[in-house]
Amino acid sequence: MRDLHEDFEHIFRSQFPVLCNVAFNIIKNQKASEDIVQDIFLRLWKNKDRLDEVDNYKAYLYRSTTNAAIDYLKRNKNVITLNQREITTGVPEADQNVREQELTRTIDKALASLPPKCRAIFVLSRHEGMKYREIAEYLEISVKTVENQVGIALSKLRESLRPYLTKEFTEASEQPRRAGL
Amino acid sequence: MNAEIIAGYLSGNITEEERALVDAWREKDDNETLFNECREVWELLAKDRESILPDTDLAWKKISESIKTPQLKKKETRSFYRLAAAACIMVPVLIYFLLFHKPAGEVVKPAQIAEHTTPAFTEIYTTDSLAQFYLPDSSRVLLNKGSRLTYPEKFGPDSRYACLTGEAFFEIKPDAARPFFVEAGESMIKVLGTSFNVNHRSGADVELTVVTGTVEFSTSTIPGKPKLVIVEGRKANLKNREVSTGKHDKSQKEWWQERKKNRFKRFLGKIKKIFRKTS
Repeated sequence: MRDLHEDFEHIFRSQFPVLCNVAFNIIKNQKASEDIVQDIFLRLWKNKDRLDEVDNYKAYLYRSTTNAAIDYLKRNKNVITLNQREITTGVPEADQNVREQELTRTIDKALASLPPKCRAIFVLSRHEGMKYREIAEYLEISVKTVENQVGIALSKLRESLRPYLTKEFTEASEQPRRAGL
Repeated sequence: MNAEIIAGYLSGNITEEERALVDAWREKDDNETLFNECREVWELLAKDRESILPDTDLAWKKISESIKTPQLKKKETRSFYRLAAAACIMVPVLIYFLLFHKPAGEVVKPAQIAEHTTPAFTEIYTTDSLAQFYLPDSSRVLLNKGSRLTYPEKFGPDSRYACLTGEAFFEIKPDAARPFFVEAGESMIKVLGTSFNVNHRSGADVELTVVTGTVEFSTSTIPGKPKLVIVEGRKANLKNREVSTGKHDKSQKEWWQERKKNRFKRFLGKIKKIFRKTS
């Protein structure tokens, strides 16, 4: 039996980095990610008396973080956030050729162009490796919604990235279908 | 065939049947090309994933400033259940005012304080909430609802003492020179340093559960009855002036084991699970 304050610190220290990364991959802004997660913990502490209503703390934290990230995206629709890589390195990485860099930037931009909720769900699936059922449970939405959103993400992203795909695909899709091929 | 199903396939989120359907679809016409396009996009997107290393120490500093309240000092042992304790009338009472067989929840009138020779006592009682507080030797007590604990303001050089009505969990600081005695109803529990739970609710029945360490359990008013030694993992019951011992029942033991595991669960559990069976 220990001080609640100590327990809270333990949870904070173990979950803070994880949650910051989830938020970061959705909104691509490190300072904002940390602020978001700080707020969530602050709220958690303020509502500690009502914590008996929470059955799954991980789901609670993921849900809060994801929703806050979605809200952030909605509020900052017109803000273009420089990709983290650009901020930290400033100089293009030596071992990456120009095409690679351009590709990376395009990928980042393509993801940034997804609708907020779609982007968040996609990030949880692709980057966090969460199963659809897990995502649905944590965010309290239906599995159908998750399936739908990831599908939308895939089509939109395919559109944006088409020029960058392996040549044979772009050629094949541009030319009319020829019988016998 | 649509992007949804292909995405499900690529992310490993579809059933065996659906998988077979997709594989069959791929064999037809030019579908494999389309499929590979999707797969390449899927692979490319992994490049977007980044890791950041936030300054957790700094973040903790910031947040702990915001959550600190005046009465919460780190070293000192105040809990935020102090509200419950503070709400109680903390008036030194003479020990004979404690009527062990009173039903829980009855209001105790503050005693007239004799100024001269009587030792000063502290009494903590709870009604609707839990109280956590520390005894003069820094032993920790978690007092359940509708309970009362009385103890001297200062412990003597030979022993430490507290008197309980209701239910409390004790975490006693080891002190070989000063054994700790808890009197609950007609039982007397002697400890050196350990953690245990005492449940003295209805009438004269007392239940002692030992979590860590060893305690001695005896009945104070029945002469000749031997002192029992209760060890970790066992409990003792005083019922109808008969003492019986046994193992922890499963649910309690599970809870004690849980506390060693997931700290967060304890954090939540403190509100919900603690003493639920008796509230």
